[in-house]
Amino acid sequence: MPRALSLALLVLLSSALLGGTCSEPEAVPLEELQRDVAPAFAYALYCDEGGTLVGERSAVLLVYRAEHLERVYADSRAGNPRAQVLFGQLENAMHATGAQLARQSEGVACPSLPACVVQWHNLEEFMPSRGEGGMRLRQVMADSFSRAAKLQHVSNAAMAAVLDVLLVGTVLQRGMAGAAEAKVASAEARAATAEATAGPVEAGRLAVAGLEARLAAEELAALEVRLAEEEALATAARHPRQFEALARHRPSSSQPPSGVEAEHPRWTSYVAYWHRRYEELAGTRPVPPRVVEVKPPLTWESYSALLGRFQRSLEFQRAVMRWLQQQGSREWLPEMKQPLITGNMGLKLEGRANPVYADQFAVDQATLGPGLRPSVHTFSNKQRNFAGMSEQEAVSQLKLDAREARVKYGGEVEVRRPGHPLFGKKVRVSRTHLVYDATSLDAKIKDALLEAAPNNGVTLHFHIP
Amino acid sequence: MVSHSTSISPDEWNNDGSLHLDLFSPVRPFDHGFDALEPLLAAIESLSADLRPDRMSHNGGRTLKYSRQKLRERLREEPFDTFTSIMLHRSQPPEVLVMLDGWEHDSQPIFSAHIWISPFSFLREPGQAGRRAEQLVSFVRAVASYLPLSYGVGHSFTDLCLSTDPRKKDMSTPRPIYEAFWLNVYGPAMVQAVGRERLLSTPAFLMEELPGGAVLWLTRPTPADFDSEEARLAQTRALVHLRPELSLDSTLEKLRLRSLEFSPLPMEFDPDVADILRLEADFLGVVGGKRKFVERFNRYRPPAVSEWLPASQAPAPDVEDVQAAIKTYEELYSEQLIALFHKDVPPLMQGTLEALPHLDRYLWHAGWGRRLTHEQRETLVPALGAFLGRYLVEVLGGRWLPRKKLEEAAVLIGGRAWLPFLRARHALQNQESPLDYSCSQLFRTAQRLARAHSH
Repeated sequence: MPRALSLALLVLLSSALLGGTCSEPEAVPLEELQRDVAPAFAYALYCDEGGTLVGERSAVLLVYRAEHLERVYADSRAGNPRAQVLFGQLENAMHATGAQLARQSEGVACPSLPACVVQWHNLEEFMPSRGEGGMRLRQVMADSFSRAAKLQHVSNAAMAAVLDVLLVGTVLQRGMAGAAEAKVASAEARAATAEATAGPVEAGRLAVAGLEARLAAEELAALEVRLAEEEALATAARHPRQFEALARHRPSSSQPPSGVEAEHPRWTSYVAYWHRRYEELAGTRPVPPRVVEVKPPLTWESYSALLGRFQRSLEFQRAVMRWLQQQGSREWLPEMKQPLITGNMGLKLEGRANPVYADQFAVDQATLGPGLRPSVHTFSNKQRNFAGMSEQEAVSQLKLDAREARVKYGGEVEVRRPGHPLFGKKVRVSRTHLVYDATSLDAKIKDALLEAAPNNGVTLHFHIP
Repeated sequence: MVSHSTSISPDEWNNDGSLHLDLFSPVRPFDHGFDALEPLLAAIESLSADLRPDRMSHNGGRTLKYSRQKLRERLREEPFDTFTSIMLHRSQPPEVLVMLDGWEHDSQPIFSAHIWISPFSFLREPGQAGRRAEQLVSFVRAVASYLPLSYGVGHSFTDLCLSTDPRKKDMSTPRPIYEAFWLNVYGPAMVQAVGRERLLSTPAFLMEELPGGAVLWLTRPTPADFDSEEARLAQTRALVHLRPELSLDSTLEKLRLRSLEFSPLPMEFDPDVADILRLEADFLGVVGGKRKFVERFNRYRPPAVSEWLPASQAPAPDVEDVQAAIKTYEELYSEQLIALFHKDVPPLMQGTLEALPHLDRYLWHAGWGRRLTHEQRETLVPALGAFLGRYLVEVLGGRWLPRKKLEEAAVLIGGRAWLPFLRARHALQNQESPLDYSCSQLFRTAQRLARAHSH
């Protein structure tokens, strides 16, 4: 599915622009674009005298070369007819692409979002310009997408997340083509970004990474943050920091390591990740706001292992969520009469710019209402390898995890999930829970952890998914 | 072959047993700076050399060599908050963990001092048991001379877990009396609730009033014999005295039943799966119901291995490139299994024979047969089958007969062609199948026949 859609985008970008008359449209691999050194701008590179696109690759190259794209857009705004014709063709292609993607993306209609979000992320790679011209093309695509998506009865939340990825960071009202439904959509898009107050939501990365997650739209931001955190903390092997040495490790999407298919989403994701990081280190790409220190990219093996762990942690988190939504809340939250459990809950802490995300957030709906103090519990899910640990090492690990959970999900928090009954409210967390995966935990360590947990301010649970 | 029904000592049976000494106070010395902590550190430092910790960590952080000066410096860097913890431990056996924890329960400040000692047999060592028990009692006296104690207990942790005492789940004041243990500290509120005179007249080995209004009392001279008839009787008499509503007979009967959990039961497992079952029995431990487990699986016999064909009926390889197919089995599939599970099953990395029962037990215990999705199963079957097949080839000198359909691929040893992939599929079909269709059993069966064949 991701592969089919990314092809669709490429094919549309090239074939639609060429009027569909050419034989086999040539998809330009991203890595080839990344090696591209833009020549001095000239219209002749892309179109004939009248502004009609020429050559199989001209549209793709023009969209990729941010400065050239912006030049054409500026000229067309200034009244240059050749530029207007040229840019008009790009707009048409984007329009067709947006509608086509909405029609094709069963992934959008169904709740498994990332499968289609991924393509929008590819768009970022293929159309890097965030200047006025680039944003105009995104806008055209977004309008067309949301109109078609409405016709397909794609859920608002799903649509919002896609638009969010596409448009975040732009002034949504501007050039919204005046369509009433598009305005509605843009409001939702902003609501969806409300949990991520900083930085573009590049949820597509997750999907590119081949993580088969089924997520609510709002949860994408949470996963994005968690993956970024884990990447930053990963102590596994990285490529060298020195540029000359680093460049020798440049991965190519058509040359995966043996045993890995070139089309494997995880490999595609690695190549994109590597290049993003390379550009961040080179200073040609802005560093995301949360990042304190830009580390060199992980090696393929480390990156793949990181994603593997991340996927397992997502699966564990979902297993805990299911358990809590089914019989688990009676056991773990016996004092709650009407528990409402939400996952990946965005919370704003006093004195912290970026929201944190609790794995699960439980509120007793019976304690909501004027004059009542809501009973709120937060959960942190951890998979630790306790095998071979002494009691002392295991208890130390517990102390660290408990401290993190108390600091991040305890005390006074502001709920940042739109639509949640506590949205925008500041509440005091009544209790913080820590949930360990008990799959490879022996009885001695388990008892020691249970014994030590109360001293560390958390309620400890074990779960076997 | 190793005999699996040798007699087991009580300490071997409860080999993960430990002693816990837990003391609780409503006063957190952390709230009054490092100086308030010094008397406690002095009490720890005056433990005898075989108990004294030599390493320290703070709030779960890095482990350092212990010195009071260094601890003072580290604590100066960070302000104390509600939850502060100092952990001291030993770098040499026995494992001794001393924790000084500041925390709260229902917004009430709590300080606790814990000494955890393992193995429990350390407290039983002939000629040393009395001295070591005395060390613990002295520690309690030392702490009580600086801090008011609200409650305290010292006992076999395993027996504590099997008892009706909810431990830290009940931090109420006064704390109700659930049971009588080896070492008991009752704070002023508990003393008042039960009545000082009544408490002091409890039948006990030692009864001592501590500074701050608490009372320390022991049921027996040492914690060593907690599950003996004598100790159970002492525990019962004390408890019935403190809780007259209980009957002596039924209380004693319950304790005797609990002692039964500590009496070793010979493991007479089927030899082909004995290693798997012993691993699981040790994993469960006495608290996890080891005795019941052994009773049940002493009767268990796995179905006979059916995943084989007479060598004459084994289908010849139908793959285009036999060498390439073997390479795929051994280098791709088998390595996949190691990549998947080496963290949870460390012996996989050693490549020794004991990896098989560890792997079987893990697959069984973690419920891999039950929780697989279709895709996961289709990944795991080739991985597990190839891993098993590689053992048949490398250890028993077998020869691969690759087939397009993996379940038909065989390893030829003497007169039989073993079907490792088919075995793997059977092993991964439900919750119990990793035991019923273990790799260990197939390997051992093949090993026996190979030996018989070569003789």
